[in-house]
Amino acid sequence: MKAARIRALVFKELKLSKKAIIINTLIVVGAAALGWLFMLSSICGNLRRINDLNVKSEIYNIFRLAIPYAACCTLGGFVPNHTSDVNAGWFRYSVGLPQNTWEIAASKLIVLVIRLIIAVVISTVDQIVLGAMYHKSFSLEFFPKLFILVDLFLLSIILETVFVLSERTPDGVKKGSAKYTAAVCAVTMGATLLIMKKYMTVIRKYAMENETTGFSNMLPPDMVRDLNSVVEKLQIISIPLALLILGIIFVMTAKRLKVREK
Amino acid sequence: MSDFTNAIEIQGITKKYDGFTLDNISFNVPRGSIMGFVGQNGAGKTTTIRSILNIIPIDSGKISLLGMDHLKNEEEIKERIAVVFDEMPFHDLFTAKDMGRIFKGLYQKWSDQTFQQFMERFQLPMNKKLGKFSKGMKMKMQIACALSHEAELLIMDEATTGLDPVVRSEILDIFLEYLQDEDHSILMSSHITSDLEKIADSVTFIDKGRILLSGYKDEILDSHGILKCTKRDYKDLDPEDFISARLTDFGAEALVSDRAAVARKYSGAVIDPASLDEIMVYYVNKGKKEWS
Repeated sequence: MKAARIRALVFKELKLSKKAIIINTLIVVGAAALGWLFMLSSICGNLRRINDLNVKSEIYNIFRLAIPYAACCTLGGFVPNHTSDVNAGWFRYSVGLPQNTWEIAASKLIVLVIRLIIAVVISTVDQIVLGAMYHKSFSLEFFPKLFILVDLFLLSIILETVFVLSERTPDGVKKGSAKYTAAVCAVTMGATLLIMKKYMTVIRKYAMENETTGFSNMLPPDMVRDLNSVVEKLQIISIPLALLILGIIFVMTAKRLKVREK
Repeated sequence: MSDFTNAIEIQGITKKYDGFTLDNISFNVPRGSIMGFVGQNGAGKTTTIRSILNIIPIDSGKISLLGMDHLKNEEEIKERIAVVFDEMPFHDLFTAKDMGRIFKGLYQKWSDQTFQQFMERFQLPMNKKLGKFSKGMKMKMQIACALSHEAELLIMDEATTGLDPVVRSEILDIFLEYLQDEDHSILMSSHITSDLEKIADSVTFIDKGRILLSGYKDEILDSHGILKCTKRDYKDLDPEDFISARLTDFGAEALVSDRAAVARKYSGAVIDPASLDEIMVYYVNKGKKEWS
């Protein structure tokens, strides 16, 4: 019976998310296709046609980061469905249904994983196509690096469960969403300020001494070296870390959903 | 089938908010009966129902549903009860077919056949988005879902509010059919007393978080009456003999709780039958004693 309940709840969650998944998938695929067009036409930022491998390198480096990031951001999250549940009155009604919060949490997690699989597939296809255009063969090393982004995204889901999932009224959900957005902005700004503080002198010196062109040449070599070192360390644990974070999300979701109205 | 006398037993529920307290609420809904839970807007009906369903936690008291503790046996209870709210709580983009699929997974005893029969009886489309349903259709949809999984207890919070008389009458007939099975019970909260006069077996009045009166509807209607007299005669009335009195320019109308005794004590007094509506109004003004 539990499996039947979870299946029913997954159907409900997917039905609610269906339109958003389709639209967001089309947006990300559209953005990826834009990158492919740029690669095919060798057009650089100022729309001058330059048959230069450096241009293709820039497009490759930008889009191989941007598309996975966009895919993760646009294809996941609990807030929209929880908001729908609260606004429709379903959440309050569902307290009278024969289901427990672990089953609800499992259904939400399954849908989250489905959405992430879609994001990973889009990112992988994009990587393969971009690589083919740039004459760079696809490597399985792509996945551990991709999952660093997935881990960052999943950490933001934890913030969603903290700020939004325990809200039971439409006003509460709005306030919770605002707090979640503020928290994400604060964390992002904090991390950016820390990095800037560490590398500001270096960036300034490098910019003054060099006429930089292209994304890859904008950053000082020692900053790039440090970033690569961090990525290399993280990619070893990125996939198991994703599983661990999903487990934390599952437990936290079940506990936050247990919170009742006052 | 488990053995219990009361479908709902509530003992001493207390729930405090700023500015409102549900104060020591106690009543029972006998198995196989329908209880009308009556009160003004803001009296505490919805708060009481949310407490029964564990939507909100209570500060103290005991609740048992179908003979089981409402917290310890929550999952089993919820298999056997159904809830109907005043507003349809299903997402607008779902269809009736979608809801049938969801409930089939949630309830062990869900019957597609019964659901289909109700949908046909109510003339509701299976594939139309629920957001496009009218208010009456939405309520029928909720009721179809509530009655399609062999629920033994129906809990309704203002389910007939805002519906036209034709739809209300149709829905009340459905509830009477539901009660043909003596194991079925209904708790129906409403401020539309005319609906309850038609179908309720017992009635509980609540006001400002307190129970004013609870008992069998026919007994309440038989025992209560409105004594009409002149202002001069009103002054001779013993305040213990009436609940409260409405004073007008022409005289007084006092609600009495024991018509027979009052008729014997004040021979020649005119005592008219009182409706549930009137009984509620007079009890609400009990604290003032006299009002106009």
